[in-house]
Amino acid sequence: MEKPKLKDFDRVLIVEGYGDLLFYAEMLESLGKHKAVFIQKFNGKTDLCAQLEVFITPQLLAEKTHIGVVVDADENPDGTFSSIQAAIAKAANQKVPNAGTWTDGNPRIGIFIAPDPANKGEIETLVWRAWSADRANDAAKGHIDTYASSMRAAGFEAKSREKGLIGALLAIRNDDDPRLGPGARTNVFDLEHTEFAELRAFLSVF
Amino acid sequence: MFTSLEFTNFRGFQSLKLEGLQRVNLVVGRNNAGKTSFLEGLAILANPERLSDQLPGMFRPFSSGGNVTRDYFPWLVRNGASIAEVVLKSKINEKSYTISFCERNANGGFLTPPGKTNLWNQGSLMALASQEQGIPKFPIRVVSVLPRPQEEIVKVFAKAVRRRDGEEKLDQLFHIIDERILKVRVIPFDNNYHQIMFDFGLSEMVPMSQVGQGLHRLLTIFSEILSGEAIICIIDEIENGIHHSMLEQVWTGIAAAAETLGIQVFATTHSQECIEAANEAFSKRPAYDFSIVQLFRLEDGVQGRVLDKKHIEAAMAGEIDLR
Repeated sequence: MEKPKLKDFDRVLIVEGYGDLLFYAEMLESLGKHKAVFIQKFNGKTDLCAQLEVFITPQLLAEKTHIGVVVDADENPDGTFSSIQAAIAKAANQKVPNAGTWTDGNPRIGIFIAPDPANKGEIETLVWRAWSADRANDAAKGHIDTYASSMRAAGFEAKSREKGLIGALLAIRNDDDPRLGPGARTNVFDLEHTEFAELRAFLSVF
Repeated sequence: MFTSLEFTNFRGFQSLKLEGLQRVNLVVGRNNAGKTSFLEGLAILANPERLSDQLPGMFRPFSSGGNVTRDYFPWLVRNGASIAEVVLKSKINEKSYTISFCERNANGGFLTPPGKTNLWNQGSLMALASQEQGIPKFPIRVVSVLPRPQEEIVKVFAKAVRRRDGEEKLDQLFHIIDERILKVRVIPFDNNYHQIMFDFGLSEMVPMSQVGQGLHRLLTIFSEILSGEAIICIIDEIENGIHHSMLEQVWTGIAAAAETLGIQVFATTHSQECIEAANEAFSKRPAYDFSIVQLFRLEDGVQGRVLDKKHIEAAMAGEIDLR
């Protein structure tokens, strides 16, 4: 299959890295938008603002109708949003009003902070929230919680709780590649779950 | 050294403002983005008095017998603008210069505006400098990187070493590139045949034909720069004919030449590998005196921006195409 090219799309979603790219590709597919959106991955969060300033060129702004950015909140949802908002304002001269919203400019530009605009965490936080809210997963969730508690008792704890829990789940459910994106590709998660409503509403603007 | 440039109604540029130029600058953009026009504007600003006859063929395939007043100079004015609206500004070594233009009047003559000096006129267009700011006089050299016959390279090299300290400077530069190189010399052989030889400290000197492609290309570039006593050096499509594995060495040499000889370099490229090689070369130097000038052709004219170290390195880390 030919690799998608940025020049062939008028809508672009910017994500932090390859793992995110695979997850958001699945989410866009579940919305029927996967053929309309090019997903641009960067190289983690360290240089994200500088990378946005470089990637958003006058040419890109002239050629695209939608540019969306999805990043993890990590420890600071407000600070993450503010820095992305400022980088976009510098590159595109448009101010995205709030996380989870789009501008009305040309092109439309939007920012989504995962798991949601108000909470710390990552996209894995949202995915774990959705997966563990499903009653059908109660038993498996209990085993994973027990595993995490046992490891904690032994002195080992994941840097990111939900990343660790998702990793433990996928180590069994998708042992070939226990990362979020490949896990989503093998239908481990219900991407239409109500917990994803805000993210899906954001991506539906594409 | 140019630190900023401003083109108004010049060729495809409605209003281009660039700040933060460095000692070595790589100009990138798609075909027809305005790279050649950018170099022309730069050339006018560097040395406006001396260039009116050289400009038409400097970057474009303009034949010497062509009608420049009809087929070249009128095209310096942006479509839809008047001659009087064309302004080129620069800051060189902290001093500002402005080149403007005026149009031939109804009587067929030019009326030089007060406070301006007439630099030259071509057809219906007269170039002016501000009397107060003075006329920039920075010799420029357009270096061709296209492969050329050995005899021609020998001639340019010989011209470079005839300059005071030329030989020492060339030896110094080559030693920076490859510390095994002790000296480079032209050696006469039979039948008036001359060969450029590299001294690697071996029992015999090595002929130019036997050294790597990167050194070969640098020999031409260094010789051209030195022979012309340039202050501004322009290298169009620098990657032309150079294998990507040699590009970092070429950039290391250009960086060394620019610093050692006190010149400013503007090069153009279409190659992402060339951009990456330049970043690699400058990242290894004590000072990252390098910028990328990106040009974009949009509906309302050409726009541009200068990328600094932070943004170039971020682009490399994110694998963002800068061409």
